[in-house]
This record gives sequence, C-alpha cells and structure tokens, in this order.
Amino acid sequence: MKTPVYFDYAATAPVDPRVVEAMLGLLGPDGDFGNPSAVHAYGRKAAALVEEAREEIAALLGVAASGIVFTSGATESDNLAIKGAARAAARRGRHVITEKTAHKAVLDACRALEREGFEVSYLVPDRGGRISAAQLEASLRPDTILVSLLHANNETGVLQDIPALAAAVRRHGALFHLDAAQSAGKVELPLEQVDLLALSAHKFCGPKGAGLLYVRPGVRLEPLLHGGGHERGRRAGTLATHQIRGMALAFRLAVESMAEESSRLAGFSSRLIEGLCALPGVLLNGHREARLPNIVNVSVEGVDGEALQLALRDIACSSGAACNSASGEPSYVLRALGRDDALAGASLRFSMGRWTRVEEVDYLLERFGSELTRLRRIAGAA
Amino acid sequence: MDELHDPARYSPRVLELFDRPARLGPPPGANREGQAENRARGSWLRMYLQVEAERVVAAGFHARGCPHTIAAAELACEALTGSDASELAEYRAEFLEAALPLPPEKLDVRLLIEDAVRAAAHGRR
Repeated sequence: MKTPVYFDYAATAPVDPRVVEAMLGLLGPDGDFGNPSAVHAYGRKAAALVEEAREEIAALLGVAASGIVFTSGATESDNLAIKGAARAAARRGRHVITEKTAHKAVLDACRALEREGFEVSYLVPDRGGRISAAQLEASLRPDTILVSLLHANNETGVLQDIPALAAAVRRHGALFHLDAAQSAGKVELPLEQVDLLALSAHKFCGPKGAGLLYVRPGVRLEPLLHGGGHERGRRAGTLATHQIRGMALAFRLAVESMAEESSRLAGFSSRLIEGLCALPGVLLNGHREARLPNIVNVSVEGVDGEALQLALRDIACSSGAACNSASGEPSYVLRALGRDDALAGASLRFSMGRWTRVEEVDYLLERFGSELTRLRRIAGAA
Repeated sequence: MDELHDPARYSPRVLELFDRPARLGPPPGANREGQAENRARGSWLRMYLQVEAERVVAAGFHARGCPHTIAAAELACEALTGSDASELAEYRAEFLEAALPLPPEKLDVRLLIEDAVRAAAHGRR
C-alpha cells in the first residue's frame, strides 16, 4: 500500500489516465492546439472540439448547451454567479442570502458585494448542517435578488434539501445559485431547480484549472473578466481546449459510473463511520443520512487536532485544526454546527474517491484507533 | 513521508520526541506535581517530579496539546533530571526555542512548560 494513503479527494482527485491521454493529444504540434477564436482551420477544429464538449456536458446535465460558461474552476464560477448576478440585478434589489457554512469562494464573493453596498444574510444551519425551507423563507425579502448555497458542504459532505429550498426561492422571485463542486459526479444535480450552478473538473478526476458555470437562459450576468467577448460575453479569455475536453470526458466517466461508484463509496463511508464512532469520544460531524457518499468528518474529544493530524501523517486527510486555516481559527463550518473550538479543532475530514480501496479504509481505521489511544495515553487517560 | 510536512513546522527532533515520548506519567517516587494550561489553545500540561536531597532525580508528564507541546514536555523532563530543585520556582526554559526548535507562533509552548514546572516546585503530591 502506498503511503501516505490518500483520503483527501474532496480537496482534489488525480486526473483519470483516460482523461490525461485525451488531453495530451490536443497539446502538441500534431494536436488540435489552435485558438478556438481563430478563423483558420486550426482554430475551427479547436472551436468544434470545444463546442462538442459543451454539448456533451450539457446533455449529461440535461440543460441547453448555451447555458454552459467555461471557467477556470468553481471559485471563478461562484464569483461570476454571485457578483455577476447581483450586479446585474442591483436595480431590483440589493439583498443576498447565503449560509455561514458556505465555501470561502461563496463567502468572500458575498463579502465583496457587501463592500459595494449589498446586504447579505448568513443563514445558520442546524446541528446536522442543514438549512430548512422555513428558515430560508423567513430571510427572503422583497429586495432579495439572489440565494447562494452549497449543494453539499465541502467539509462535512452534508447535502441540502434543494427541492424544498428552491421552491421557497422561486416563490420570492430571487435567483438561486448552487455551488456543486463537491456533489458533481457523486449525486444527481438539481439543474432544473436552480438558475446558476458551479462546478470544478478536478473534483471528479478531471484537470485542475477547469470548471463551468451553468446559467439558466434569460439570467443576466455582469462579466468579471473583459477582453474579447468569449462565452457570449460572459467570460473573456482564450478557451483552453484541452482543459475543456478533459473536463467533458472526466464528467462523462463520472456520470457513467456514478451509481456503482457512489454505492461502493457509501459502503466505505458506512464502514468508516461505524468503525470510528465506535471509538470513545469520536463524534460524526453533520447529518447522518443526508450526505455525500464519499466524505466522513469526525471530531475527537480529549485530543489536540494538530497532534492527531501529525500522528496520522501516513494518512493524507484534511484537518479542522486552527494551524491549518488562514484565519488561525478552528473550522468555521463545524463551529457553525455548534461544535466548540476544541471539537472543531480536533476534527478530521476523510474523503474517498475512484482509487480508494477497502484495504485502505481498514488501514485508516486501524491507524486512527492506535494513534487515538497513544495520544490519550500521553494525556493520562487509560 | 515526513518530507510531506513543512520542515519548518516540525523538525526531526520534534517528530522524534512527539512519536516516542519516554517520560509519560509520574515516576514511581514522584513527590511533586504541578499543572498549567493555555485556554486559548485548549492545551494543558501536568508535570510530575521526584525530588530527593534538593535534586530532581526523575521527571514525567501528561499533556494534551500540539506536537510541540508534547515534544517540549518530553525534552524538559529530560533536562530537569539531575537539576537543582531550588531553581524550580524560577524555572526558565529558553533552551527549548533552539533545541526543538519552536517556531515563532509556538513560543507560548515555552511558557506552558515553565508554568507547569514552577507549579510543581511547590506542588506536593
């Protein structure tokens, strides 16, 4: 077994070798390297490949190809959705709703809007990490123009009840943006219920630096980037043919294997949750059922988070410890779920993917148990 | 695998002491005990000393804390063994900063060690 064993697929995944091969074929002097905006044969070939990829992704999502805007990833897509939609709708209202547990790409884009004079409400989820339709309904106002939520939380994997939330948003006539960076390729995406949806290729074994924003036809966006009017004026910049083709293939592979793969990973998650939570003082973070099949996040009582992560350095995972955050504070997501600083800091996120094997899950369980015992012995516990 | 971790954060010495602390718990003849805590970090340290004829003959600890705290406690116990017990009340552990070393954001670990040892200077067990 290769160590450190990789349990950080929610951060990023390796590129599928089939995707690598497809991308490489586009890059060299014999490949289809042309600029898709160019009018000569090289350019037209590249443009055709980009449009083919757009059609393929749109078909997999069940939407019109004209609604797909290629970007550099979910962070850019979130920024374009939130700032672009809010600025375009500013004459109708200046109130935006998001959640305290959103990804930084969403929160920081909302903070940028606040600096422009928009007002943002931050919903606090319940202890399981979910936001209720009633809670959202209570925050919606006549001047609310946009609601931006995560489909699945990146730290806990908790899934929101999108049909109920979308109905509330629709009743008030606001736009609904969903960050689906973690859920794309893992579960069905509720495209028919949202106006804007962001995803990143590298989360489903595609290349980093590639993503998209789905924009429902008729939704207006102020572009963030100017310089050439690409993507129907919504996102300037030369289209990266190899990245886009890579993303399209990676998405197809993920969608085609989704049912089987999600069931396999859900089995691993159950095995992990059962094994970890059988240990004294280990608590599952987030809703037990409404969750992605591949993310398990636990807090541990009585040990230091940084020590736990270093003790388990043969397991590559993410930690909620303060030393791992730019703010120097323990996970804001887990604190919003009601965990105190100690438990939010002493948390680990294990996320699995295409190359995770059951032997690795068992190795993690064995190593976690023995290091937890060792750290507790250092603290004088039996 | 250790090269995957920022070497400025965890030196080989810190890793060695963190992985294999040898002075856990009170030595068999421990007669002094003191505790200190750092609430901001959620860490605490309990020091146990065996003092005979004004000399520290053995030292041990229990701790909940970051890797540097555990490594520093182990190193302090090692250094305390054989030291003059009359100096415990004014104990200073500057040597930890260079010996581990402690990165700038972890300098408070030294204070935790000093507070626990000073508490143990008077803490009868």
